[in-house]
Amino acid sequence: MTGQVEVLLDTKLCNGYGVCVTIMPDVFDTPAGSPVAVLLRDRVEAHERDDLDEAIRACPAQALASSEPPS
Amino acid sequence: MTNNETLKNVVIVGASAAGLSAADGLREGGYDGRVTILGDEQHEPYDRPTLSKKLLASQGEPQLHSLRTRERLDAADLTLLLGHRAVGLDVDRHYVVTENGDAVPWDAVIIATGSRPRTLLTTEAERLPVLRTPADLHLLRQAAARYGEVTLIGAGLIGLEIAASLSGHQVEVTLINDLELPLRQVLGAPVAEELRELHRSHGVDLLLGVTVEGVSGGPGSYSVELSNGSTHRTSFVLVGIGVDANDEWLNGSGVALDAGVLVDAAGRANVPGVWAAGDVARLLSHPSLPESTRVEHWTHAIEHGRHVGLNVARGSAVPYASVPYFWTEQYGRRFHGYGRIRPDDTALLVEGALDDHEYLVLYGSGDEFHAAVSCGCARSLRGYRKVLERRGSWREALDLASHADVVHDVALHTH
Repeated sequence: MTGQVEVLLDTKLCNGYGVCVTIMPDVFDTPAGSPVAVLLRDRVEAHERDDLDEAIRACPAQALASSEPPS
Repeated sequence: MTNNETLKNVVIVGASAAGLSAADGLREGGYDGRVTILGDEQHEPYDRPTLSKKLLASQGEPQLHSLRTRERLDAADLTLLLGHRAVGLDVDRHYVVTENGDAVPWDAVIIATGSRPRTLLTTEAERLPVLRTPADLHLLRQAAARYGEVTLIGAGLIGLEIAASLSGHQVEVTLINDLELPLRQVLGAPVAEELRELHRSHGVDLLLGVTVEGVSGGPGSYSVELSNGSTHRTSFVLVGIGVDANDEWLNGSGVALDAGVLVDAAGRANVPGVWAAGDVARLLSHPSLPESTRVEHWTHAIEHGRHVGLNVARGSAVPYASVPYFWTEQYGRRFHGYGRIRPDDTALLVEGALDDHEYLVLYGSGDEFHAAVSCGCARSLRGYRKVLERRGSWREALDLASHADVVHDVALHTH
């Protein structure tokens, strides 16, 4: 699929604050008791890219990144 | 593409979350000239929120979380000068003067010097500790381990996070606050009440509705005189009574100040070429904020910094309108809030139950929707956030709640 972006979560850095969950609840979750966030899916569509970029910026632990998947 | 061809030299004062985000915004906006970031601390830029949220309770030596690796700074061709505290700004000749005596030239300057904690002096004129830097963290951790008992003056977000971290680790905590209901303005009354009870149930000794008249003594033996006539004795005192903008280095520079650098909606100060971002900036106009305000939350620093960087790069004056957001974690519970609660707001519980510690509360008055605060319901916030972003009405917010079929017919008043 064109325009898809891969979501990368570094669980060694993640503090489980959940800032990303408030921005993209259908991509990130912080289950009760979990010290780190989990990915509900690891790809987002082109139209979700602004939200993903915002989540990446907003992560205080710098635990999020994105990458263009190989076509 | 930059529309700002005359711009070759941008200086960012402050290696802060706002300053670094401004640098990223400059690059994102197509500016490819020189970017120099002046940092006053000797540490590589690190994430401050973790100091109170996580590192206080960590085992072993706390590891600072880097905000930017050297690789990332190099990849964006950003020059970071640590140990360069700015002491003056020359707006005629376009220099930032540092305490080392350097004059750093600029075509545009972004002020991101942040804020610093207010503190109190003892009667012996010693400054009482605060929590802002890794050195402060070290001192607090040492004191907690040594004395097993700590008194916190001020129950803002920082004070409450420290209380939660320490009391979860067998440290006796006394929390003194002038208001009866800590964080009421941030969380709203019903949530603030729940949080207060949470602290009580974890054994934090809350001395509320009293002010501190004076503190004497030193580490190991302090006496805190309270407005109710009593004296509280404690081994260690830490102060968390708010912050002041780091703007005094601009006194006399010609940049307009009023407890912060006054900026318009685009982030511009009154002097051409001078911008400010993050918690040093006092926003003269913002759609979610009723009056001029400094916003002291993390994501504001990030978003406002980037926004100003984009405007500088593009030669644009796009108004900043991000909805204020905060989060805090206490006793394993995660609180998130969007918007700004006003004193006359009504509170409406739309999800969960307050005593379940999983709930979402909306705040508004008349047809205005002002804020949404969640404990453990972060997943539901997105919709309300979107409504706040487009200045949607109370009705639109409530419609969202009914779509989710979770409306409780419970109105809670903030008074």
